[in-house]
Amino acid sequence: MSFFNQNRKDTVAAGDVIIVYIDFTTMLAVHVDLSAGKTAIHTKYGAIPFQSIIGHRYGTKFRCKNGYVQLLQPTPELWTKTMPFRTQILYLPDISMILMQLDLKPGSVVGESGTGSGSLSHAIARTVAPHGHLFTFDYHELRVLQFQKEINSHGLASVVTAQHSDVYKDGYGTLDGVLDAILLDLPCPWFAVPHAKKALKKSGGRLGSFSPCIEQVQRTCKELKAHGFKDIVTLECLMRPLEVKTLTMNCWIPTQAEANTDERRDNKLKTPFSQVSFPTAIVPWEVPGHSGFLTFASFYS
Amino acid sequence: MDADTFDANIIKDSDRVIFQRKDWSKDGIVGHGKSLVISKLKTKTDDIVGLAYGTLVEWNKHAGKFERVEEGELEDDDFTADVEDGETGGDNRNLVDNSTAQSLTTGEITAMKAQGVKGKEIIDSLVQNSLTFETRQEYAKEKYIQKKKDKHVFRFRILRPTLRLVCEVYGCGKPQRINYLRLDTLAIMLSNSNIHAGSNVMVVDGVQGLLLAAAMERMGGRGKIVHVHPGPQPIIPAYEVFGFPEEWTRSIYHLSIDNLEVISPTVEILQNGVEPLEISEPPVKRRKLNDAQQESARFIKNHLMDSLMIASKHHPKTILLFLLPFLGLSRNFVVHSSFREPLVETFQAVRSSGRAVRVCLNETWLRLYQVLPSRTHPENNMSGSGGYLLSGTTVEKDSSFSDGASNETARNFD
Ligand SMILES: C[S@@+](CC[C@H](N)C(=O)[O-])C[C@H]1O[C@@H](n2cnc3c(N)ncnc32)[C@H](O)[C@@H]1O
Repeated sequence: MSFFNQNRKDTVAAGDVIIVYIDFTTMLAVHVDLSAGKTAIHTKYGAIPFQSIIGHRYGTKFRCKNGYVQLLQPTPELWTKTMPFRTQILYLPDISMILMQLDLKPGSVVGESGTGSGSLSHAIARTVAPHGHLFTFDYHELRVLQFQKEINSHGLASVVTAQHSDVYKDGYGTLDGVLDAILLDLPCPWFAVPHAKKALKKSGGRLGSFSPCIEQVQRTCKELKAHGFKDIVTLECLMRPLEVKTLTMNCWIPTQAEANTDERRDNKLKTPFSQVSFPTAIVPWEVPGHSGFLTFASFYS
Repeated sequence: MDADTFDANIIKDSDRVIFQRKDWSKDGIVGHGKSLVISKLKTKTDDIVGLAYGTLVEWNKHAGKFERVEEGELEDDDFTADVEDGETGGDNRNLVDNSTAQSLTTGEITAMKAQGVKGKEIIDSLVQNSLTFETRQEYAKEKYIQKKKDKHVFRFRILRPTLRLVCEVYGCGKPQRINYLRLDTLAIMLSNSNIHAGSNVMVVDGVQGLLLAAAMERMGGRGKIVHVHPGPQPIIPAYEVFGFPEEWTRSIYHLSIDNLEVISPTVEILQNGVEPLEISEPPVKRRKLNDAQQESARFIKNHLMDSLMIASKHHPKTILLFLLPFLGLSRNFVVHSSFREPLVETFQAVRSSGRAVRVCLNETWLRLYQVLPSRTHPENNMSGSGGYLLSGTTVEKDSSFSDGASNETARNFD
């Protein structure tokens, strides 16, 4: 099993992490680990014994007692939607913007703090593989250990190093002038700025910082400027879901107009209304309005 | 360019570079005899060769060449440094806006420039000689400085092209050429399609090769890209800006959209959504394909794709339905359009094709901020729309599928 297309197999094997797609609002990430105590996946359509899905083809229906589910190959995006939360995590729009703004590509060497639940880490690992690397730091030991387990079972161990350390105090360890990019998702990113400056490449290393509050952004920007960072930009990005529907409206037919009177007679309408249908995309009444501010900057010396 | 020197840090003769200035970037070739026109002024780029990427340069009109500018000198933000912290608005009761408010004459400015006086000093002089500057409101001050700066400062950072920078170049000069595909929208497309090194990727690119370049940057020459292009020949100026290594470019299979049908002997997919297949009709007249197009067709017939991205001027419905069977199962696709209606139609067609789950339609939203002490606010202007995205994941065709017969509701929350 792997997050990488190159190493994928068409069917489910023991040890795989799979995404069980149940319906539009429900998906589960499941580690098909036969050695662990768990032996089945429980869904609203009935139980799915691990044994029965081994050899099942990805992207084809799996019949349960009361319906069916789809078994999907994992991707960083699906993982973000199904992963166990240990902290607040970053979601697709911010993650996408970070990958783009930090100029990440195969071969990039990246620093991240904190690791948190590893939502962003998966997307970075996918993007910099096979010959790039992610060094990710968190001062919460248990989170680091859990994330290390995940990268092993997700086939990402060769691309990711997860380390337990306090970035405000110890920075990026021995990494000195070697990182192409650094992302900060920390309560006080400004404390990490001098360390980031040291660890980044001097020829245009990219720094990104995610903060929910504007006060954090102001302190971070001030610190970035003080340390000589250039091209500082702050932005917010969101995705607005649209609901596609075919709607029907009553259309009033004026009784006076000749043509319409004919139409009314033809359609044997008793009321001065006819019905009109149209496909449309509706913006829901409530949509995501804020995740956080993203600040990006470059370092040259 | 070959792969070894692709990442090199020194600017070489004939390199394609990005000239970056705040709010305005442009690509150009540097080197002997290469010029760049900035604000109607023709500059020579010879002196940029040999510098490191990331270097700041300024056009010296007097000397007729680009000169290196030290870091820390002439910062953009220095121009607004006169505005003190905590002071968000001046008193403008005495402002009289007439041309005599500026005591420095055009002649004097020209003379300063001819003497090789640097941009920052000219701006400072203008500010000092503006009788009304101090009494302007903060916003007006910035606008004043920006207006003067645009006119008088020819200072750039020379950067190696990246997807981000090339998006900026198109975004600030010619967004219509890339169908108003905005940076954040493209970024989301790359996530939604799960493109990465070692994949087989198909792009339908009506955006000057930008989509092709995006795929190439994220794959680093590892894997294969099928590039479906409008017109008989691929026209990909946005791709060419990157100067990707020659051997990477060889991993692309170009196929004209006019020849698309050659990859499908059975037009089976037309059963869904589009017109039913007319058996009695004579077979489609096959065009004579050149070798390259034939090779592309052969490749597609023998390999399932891992990702599909579409950003084209064509209505996406028929193209997407036609191409979906060429994706493997549990693979991802994403379609951009700057219009909502074609994607609504495509959404409904894909849903009833029974070939995809997680079919979503989204609009993207982006807002930039000015962050300064006591003067933090959203930028006064923002992009109106970055377009719409339709995305989904392929599954085995559900032949029993008709609307309402599946688990899926008509809602589109993801
Ligand atoms: C919001 S979470 C990061 C979420 C992550 N971006 C994701 O997508 O899953 C912030 C993390 O930073 C860690 N953290 C806070 N201060 C730190 C410090 N000084 N050094 C290292 N990690 C720190 C916390 O333990 C927490 O796990």
